[in-house]
Amino acid sequence: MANKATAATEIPHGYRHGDLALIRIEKLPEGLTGDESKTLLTGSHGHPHTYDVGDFYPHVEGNCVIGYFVARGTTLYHPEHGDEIKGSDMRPAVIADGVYELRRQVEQTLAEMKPVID
Amino acid sequence: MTKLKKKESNRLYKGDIIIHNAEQWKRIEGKYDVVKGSISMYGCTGLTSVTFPDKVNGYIYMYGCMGLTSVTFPDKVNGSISMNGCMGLTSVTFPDKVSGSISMDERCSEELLAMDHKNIIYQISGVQFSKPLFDSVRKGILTVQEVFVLKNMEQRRVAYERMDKTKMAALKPVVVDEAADSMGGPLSIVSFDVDGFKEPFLYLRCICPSTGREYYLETRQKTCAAAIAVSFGLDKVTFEKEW
Repeated sequence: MANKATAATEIPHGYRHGDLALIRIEKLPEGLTGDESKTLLTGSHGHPHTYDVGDFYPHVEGNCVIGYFVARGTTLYHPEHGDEIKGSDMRPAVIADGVYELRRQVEQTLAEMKPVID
Repeated sequence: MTKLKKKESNRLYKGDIIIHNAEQWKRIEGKYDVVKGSISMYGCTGLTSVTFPDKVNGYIYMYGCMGLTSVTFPDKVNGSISMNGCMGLTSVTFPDKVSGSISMDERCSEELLAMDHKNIIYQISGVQFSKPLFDSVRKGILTVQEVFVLKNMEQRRVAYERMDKTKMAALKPVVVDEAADSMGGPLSIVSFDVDGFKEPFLYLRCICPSTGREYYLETRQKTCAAAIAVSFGLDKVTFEKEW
């Protein structure tokens, strides 16, 4: 399976945020166009993976890659995935500064690959 | 005319209305003809009857209002209606015009669940099901094989949660691999045969670190590490943190 993440270490690493993975890469691929949307991915139940600060570059490649992201003091937000804050409907998840490839999770079935519904 | 306009204006409420008990609702019921916002009612167990304003530009959400026996909806709702846990409500007249869905959950009364409307959707634990599957899951009549071949992973999770776990013995699951995720949560690969399929099904069993939900994620990999990596389209991966 193609691994387009060119991480600084041999094994790609990063964060998993529900069905969204942020994989560290050294630099952004060329030719990307930024998007002002604060939603990186929305599951079928309408729960969005959002962020406060950073640069989002939507770019779908194959089954898993959905874009790229540059984090600078970024906190991710989701109603279910993140650190629990009493009295808050949203859960924050702080990530380190850097460049990330965004990948959504898929199931590998007997017949096909299909997106995880989260 | 001016007075009428003023009166109309006074009977318009702009903003969301959130109600937590019967007394709060009684203070505003009948006060407005139009609400430009949503109306949410949470756990108003002491409320038996509700008459909504004539028009609501937003969603209407009734959650856990178990004592409701009578609801009069607006003629027009520019949004969706949720009726979760309305176990005492046996009949309603739905609005003539509702732009969104009308959702019911498994705690609604049998009479309510039997009602017909093109906008009705059925949910269990926030996950949408077709009516036949909804009935099969809530009544616990799915076989374990039927649960595990559900294509939608969230439907599979909910159906599994509701399933009598003694049914698992029918599959004779074999644990192929065991590990822990980066947060120390248990992972395993389980294999079992399902009638009608030549190859065994393999699932990565994992627990969401944020919600504690148990998932069976279908895979073709025989190790937990490979199953996680491949599920994100990678050969290998490590996570600094998982939520």
